[in-house]
Amino acid sequence: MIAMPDNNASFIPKNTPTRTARKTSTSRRIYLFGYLSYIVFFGTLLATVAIFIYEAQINSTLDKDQTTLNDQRNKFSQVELRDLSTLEKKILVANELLENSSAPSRIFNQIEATIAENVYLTSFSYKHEVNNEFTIDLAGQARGINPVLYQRQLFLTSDLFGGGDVVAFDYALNETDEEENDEVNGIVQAILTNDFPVVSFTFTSRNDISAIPYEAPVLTMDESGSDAQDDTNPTEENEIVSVRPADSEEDPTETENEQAEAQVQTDVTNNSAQQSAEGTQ
Amino acid sequence: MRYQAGIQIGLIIVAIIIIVTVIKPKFTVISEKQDEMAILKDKIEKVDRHLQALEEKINRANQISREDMQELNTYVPNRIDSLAVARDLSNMVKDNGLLLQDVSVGESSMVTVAANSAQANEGPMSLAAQAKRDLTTQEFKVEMIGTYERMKEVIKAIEENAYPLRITALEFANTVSDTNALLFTYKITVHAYALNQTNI
Repeated sequence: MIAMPDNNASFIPKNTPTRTARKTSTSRRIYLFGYLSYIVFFGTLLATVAIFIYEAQINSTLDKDQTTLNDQRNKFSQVELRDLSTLEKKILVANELLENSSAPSRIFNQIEATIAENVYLTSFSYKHEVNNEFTIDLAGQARGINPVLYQRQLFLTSDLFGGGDVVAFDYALNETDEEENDEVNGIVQAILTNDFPVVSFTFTSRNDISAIPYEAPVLTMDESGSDAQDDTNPTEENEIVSVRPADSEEDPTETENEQAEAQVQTDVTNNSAQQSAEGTQ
Repeated sequence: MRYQAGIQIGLIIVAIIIIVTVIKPKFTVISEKQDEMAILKDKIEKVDRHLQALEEKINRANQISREDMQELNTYVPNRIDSLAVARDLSNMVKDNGLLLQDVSVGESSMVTVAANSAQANEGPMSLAAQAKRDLTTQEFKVEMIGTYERMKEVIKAIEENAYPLRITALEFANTVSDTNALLFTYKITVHAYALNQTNI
């Protein structure tokens, strides 16, 4: 038998370190992975719970907000809203109407201030256009072209008629009633009597409505507390005409018609008297 | 050891399934609800502002005196009472000493300028635009005879009326060939206004 060498004498260590080391390495890897997996799992569970709680909170807040909104909406009284809306619209409309208001009566003042003494106006036409402009057509007569030229000059220098011009004119000899059927005699008579021809003309002017604004009379309170006219405009022209209310049931009487007719009759009489007086002169 | 590893892998798989099937959809839902909440908050703020404005306006409206309110209602009526307007015009003519020949009432219509401006606004209409849209007008034609001076008084009376009567046309001519004639026939076109209540 061959004797076996003593194991203790071997230089190889009894316990191999590699085996132990491998063991440790394997158990550590599983340990870290386990931690990781537990963290991930429980983290997910916690996150799920947190999300459910957060969702519940959001739902609660949403419900509260919805209730608040409904409460606030219920505070709006539809009747009050409608009344207010109507009131505001009326104020806006009143403002708009006042801003775009016009006073054609101002035109007459301008005409009276501008018209020459030897020019007669035979017709007047005022038209308010859609684009907030107004047109004035004036037809007139004068004895000769020079007065018409002078009148045009007067119109052009005025504020209101400055943009207008004489758009048409007609030159004709002045014929009296006796001579109207005899043109040649009429002309001869006109030459002999040194009569001037009649020039009819039409003047047209266009202007913005803001040129004739309506200015409401300013009312002030006097010491007794009653309304009084502004001192700067004490004339009757500035009084506001109190129109009868729409609900008054007063029927138009024949007396009013008679009064108006009588007034016109008086005017006619005055007219005739004036004409006869002029004829006498 | 093998079982332990299997359990850990299983846990991770379950976690992933929870994330995909529960957490992710919940995040979407929560995001939508957060948006909804922001919109609601915005609405509440707006309603709050409107409520404050409404309260201010109610206070201001309450401060308007009854007389002023009555005058406003006269100036901008809810409808045009054509008969009453014709009567008022007739009174103005007669009170100033002219002979009334005719008063005729035209058809009621919307104000042209207002209708155009309302059409131009495609979005939600402002109150001013609505007011313009709801403004209606009616035409009245008046024929009268009288002197020039008295006609001027009638025109002034129309201008100073308690409710707006806009003179849109006025013409007169010397019908008599005599240039010294004092009497003229006047044709006046007047427009009355009202705020139509049907659209309010």
